[in-house]
Amino acid sequence: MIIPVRCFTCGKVIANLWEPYQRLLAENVSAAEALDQLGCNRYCCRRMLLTHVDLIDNLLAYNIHAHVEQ
Amino acid sequence: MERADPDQFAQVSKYGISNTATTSGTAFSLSTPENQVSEQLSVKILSKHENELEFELINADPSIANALRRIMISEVPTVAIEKAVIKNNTSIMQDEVLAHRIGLVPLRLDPSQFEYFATDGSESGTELNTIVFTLKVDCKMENGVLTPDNGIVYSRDLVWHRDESHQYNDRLTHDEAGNELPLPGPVHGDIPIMKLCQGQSLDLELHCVKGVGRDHAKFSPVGTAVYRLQNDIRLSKEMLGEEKINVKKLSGAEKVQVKTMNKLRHDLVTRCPLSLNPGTSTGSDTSSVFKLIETKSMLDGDKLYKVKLNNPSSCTMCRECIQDDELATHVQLLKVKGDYLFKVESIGSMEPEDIVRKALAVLKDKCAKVRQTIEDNTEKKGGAAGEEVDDEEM
Amino acid sequence: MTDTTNATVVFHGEDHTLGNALRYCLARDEEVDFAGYTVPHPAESRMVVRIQTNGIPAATALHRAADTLENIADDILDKFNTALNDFEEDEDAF
Repeated sequence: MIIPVRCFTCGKVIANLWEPYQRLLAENVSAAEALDQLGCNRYCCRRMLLTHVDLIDNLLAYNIHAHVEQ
Repeated sequence: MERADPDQFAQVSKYGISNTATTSGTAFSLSTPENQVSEQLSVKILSKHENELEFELINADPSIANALRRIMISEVPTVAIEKAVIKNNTSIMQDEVLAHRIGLVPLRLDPSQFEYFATDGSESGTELNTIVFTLKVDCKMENGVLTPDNGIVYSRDLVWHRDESHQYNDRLTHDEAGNELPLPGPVHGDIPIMKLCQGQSLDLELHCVKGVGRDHAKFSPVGTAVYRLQNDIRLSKEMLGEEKINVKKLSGAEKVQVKTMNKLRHDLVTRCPLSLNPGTSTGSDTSSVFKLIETKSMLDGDKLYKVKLNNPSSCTMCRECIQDDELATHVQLLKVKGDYLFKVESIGSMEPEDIVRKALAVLKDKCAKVRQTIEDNTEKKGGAAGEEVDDEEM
Repeated sequence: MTDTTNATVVFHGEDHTLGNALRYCLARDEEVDFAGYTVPHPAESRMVVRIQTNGIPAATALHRAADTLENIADDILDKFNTALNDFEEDEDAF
C-alpha cells in the first residue's frame, strides 16, 4: 500500500528513500544505480524498494470524505 | 602448500569448512591464565562513517563476541512510540496498521534520561518514563492547493507535546553543560507515514517509553550488528611468482612449467569475482582480492605475470578460486579464529560507538547481578554455598 | 551432607547471551571440571548452568566466572575507547 517504514529483515529505515528513489528512476537512472546512490547496499533493503508497489494512490480514488468540504 | 595451524585457522575447502572448533575455553583444553588472555585481546577501529562503525576484535572467544553482538541487537535500551491514542483517523489505513507504522519511526531521544515504564500496570505514566508526541493533520483544499503537499504526512509532523507543568523538560532540551539541544523528534523527518486526500484527517496522541529490542524490534538501536571472521588467504610461492627467472637459461620442461603457472595466475585472477580484471570492468581497485602484475620478462612472445594479494579481507569466501583442483593446490583460504570484524550500523538514535559502549555496560551489569544474587543467597544460608541458587527474575 | 562442588543454577530472564559467555568463563577456570549451559525451551525465558568443580564450592566458581566476564568486558571497553581515540586523532590529522 505505502512503502514500509523499515526493512523487514534488518530494520534499516528505508521509507525515507522511497521518494528520492522514485525521483532518480524518473531521471532514467537504473534501479541498481539509484539504490547504490541512496546507500541501500544490502539485498534485503534493496528488495524493499525494488519490489514495492505503491497502491495508495489507487485506493485514495475511493474517498468517501471528498464531498465534505466541497 | 604447508598446512595452516588448525588451532588458529579454520580451513575453507571446496566442499566445506574444517577445523572450526574453538579449543580455548573448553573444559578439556589447557586453561589460559586470565592476564595472558587480557594481554592478547585487542581492538582496532577500521572505519567510521556517520552511522556505521567497523572494528576488529582480536583474540576473543566466540562466546564473548557473540554476547556483544546479541546485546547490541536486543538489550541496549532506546525510546520508541509504544502507545497510540487515536482520537480521529479517517485515512484509508486501519488504526492498528497506522499505529504499527508510527511505532517503527526511530526517535532522537537519549534513553538514559528515561526510566522504564513498569510492565505490570502498577504505575501510570510520569514525565520520567513517558514522553508524548502529537500528530494532527487535516487534509484540505485551499485555493486549489492541497495541504499538506500531495496529502503526504511525514514523520516531521510528529510534534513533541511539551507540558509546561513538567519539572524535567530541561533534561530533554538542554545537555549537561546547559547547551540547547534540538527538540525531541524523529531521527528522519522525511519518512512518509500516510497519504491523505481531501477531507481526511489524523489526530493522534503518541506515548513513547523506554524499551529493549527483545520486546520489539522497534527498540533495537542497530540496523545490523554483525561480525565475521577475518580472512587469511595464502598463495604458493609458484603462484606469487616472485622468484626471478632467467628466461634464456630455461630448459624445455621448465619453459612448459613457467607457461602453465603463468596461465594459472591469469585463471586465478579472472575467476575471482572481486578482481579488477584487465579485460573487464568488474571490481574496484581497493576491493579486489588479487591483482595481476606485469613483469618485464617475456617468454615466447607472452608476457609473464606475478600475483599480488591486494585486499584479502574483502574476499567473500565464494570458493570460486578453489573449484579447479590444480588451482586449489596453490591457494589456501583460511579464517582466522578469534579475529572478528564487527560492523555496527546505528538506526540514528545513538552513535554506533555509544551502542558498543552501552552493550558492554549491559554485559557488566549482568555479571554484577549474578554476583549479587550469589552473595545474597550465601548470606541467607549462613555461608553454606553451593546449594541450588535461583537467580532473580531479570 | 550436601555436595557443594556441583550445582545447577537456573537463570530467569537470561538466554545464550549470558549462558555461553558464562560457560566459557567457567570452563577457563582450572578448578572447574565441567561447565555446561542449556536453554531448556526457546519460548521460555530461562537458562540453566551446570557446574562441577574439583573441590571449591560451585557458587564460588560461578562468582569467579562472573568476575572474569566482567573483567573481559571492562578490558574490551578500555581497549575500544583507546582505539577509538587513536582513530579519531588520525582522522583529524588528515
